[in-house]
Amino acid sequence: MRYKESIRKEVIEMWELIHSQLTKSLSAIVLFDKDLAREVILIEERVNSSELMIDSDCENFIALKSFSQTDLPFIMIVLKTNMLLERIGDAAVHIANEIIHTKKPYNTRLLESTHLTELFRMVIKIFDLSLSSFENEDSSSGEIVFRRAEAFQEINSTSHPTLKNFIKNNPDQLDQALPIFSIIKNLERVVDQIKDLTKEVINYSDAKVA
Amino acid sequence: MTKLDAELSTIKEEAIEMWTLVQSQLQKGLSSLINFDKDLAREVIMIERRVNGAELKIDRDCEDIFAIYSPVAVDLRFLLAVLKINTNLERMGDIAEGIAKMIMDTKEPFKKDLLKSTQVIEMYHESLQIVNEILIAFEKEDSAMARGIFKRDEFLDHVNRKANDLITDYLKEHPEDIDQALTVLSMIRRLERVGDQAENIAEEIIFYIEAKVIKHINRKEK
Repeated sequence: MRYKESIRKEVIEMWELIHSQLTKSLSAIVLFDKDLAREVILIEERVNSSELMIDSDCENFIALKSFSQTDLPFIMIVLKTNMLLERIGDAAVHIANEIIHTKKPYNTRLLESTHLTELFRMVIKIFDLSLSSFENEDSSSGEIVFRRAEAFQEINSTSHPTLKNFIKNNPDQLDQALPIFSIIKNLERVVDQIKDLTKEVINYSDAKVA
Repeated sequence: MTKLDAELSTIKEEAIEMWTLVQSQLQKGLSSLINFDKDLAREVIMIERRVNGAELKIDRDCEDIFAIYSPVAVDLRFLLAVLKINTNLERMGDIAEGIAKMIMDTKEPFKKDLLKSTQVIEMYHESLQIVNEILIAFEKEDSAMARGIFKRDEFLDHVNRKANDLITDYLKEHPEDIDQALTVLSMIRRLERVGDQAENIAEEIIFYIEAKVIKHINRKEK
């Protein structure tokens, strides 16, 4: 039991670490702070070592004599969650890289019209909801995740035509528009990953109740 | 061969089959990009369902082996590696599907100049090659071959890093091709991830083979 509790704690810590990676990437965009973006890339190493630690703790836990079959679903969800979280951390690094390679601060008008910061805030909110569904093992906050993800898609669907128009009218500002395009694509992927994560949590909590 | 050994070798076969499915997705995706063949793109999207089914089956089979045999040491390490490889393969399938969808959504055949100047086709070829090699490394349990992936991935990173500049240059000459250019940029970003997934798989293979080697050394010492 103690083993299981400590793995659970490690997973939650990993979640918090990724939350801070996402938040820092967002701040790095808004403040155009390349040092902060560099920090995100450096911290990636800590994310990777947390992932390895959780994996190896799961391995040790399974190998224990006291390991019981009833702990298996827990281990499976931890392994999956761990991988998905690491991947969301990767997206934060990709975003940080875009920022580092952008020469001038982002055009505020473009940030507003593409809803980039708004979309990013939504992603962080959805991510937090997925954590509480894991922490509390309840599927209701999981359902909110899917509703919020739909709202994200709705706003996101307008950002693509906006960006295209911007490029048409400001061909000299491609160095601004392309990174924003890539960042939005990364955010889309993060939302997909959070949905996968939440599906796992819901299946796990439901199986537990049944 | 013990019962557990037999189960493990079945799992290995299932993983190889999954790999073959993902390879065929990537291969078809590449042909569909080169020939602008939407039927083939549609096929890639259809195969995705089979990939998802295969992924679930491998997950479930691993879980069953955990439950029935309580494997330890190198066997446990192998199963954990397969679980991770499985997820990474499924991700690659997703990427192939994503690219196929982009081809479906594109109205006119891709401009030759755009494909050439961005090196997206070479990148696609390279990622396919990496997936093939990493499969052989898994089949043969060859850690040197798995390690070779890390270097190959550099080409994908290189194209990916240059992508924004190349697309910018292209759009300056052909401002009317915004849609296609953004699509190709998205493809490049995704293909770069195939390299990342392959690296993850290589790490798992090395990790597992090392456990096996260490186990053998220990045995000899006894």
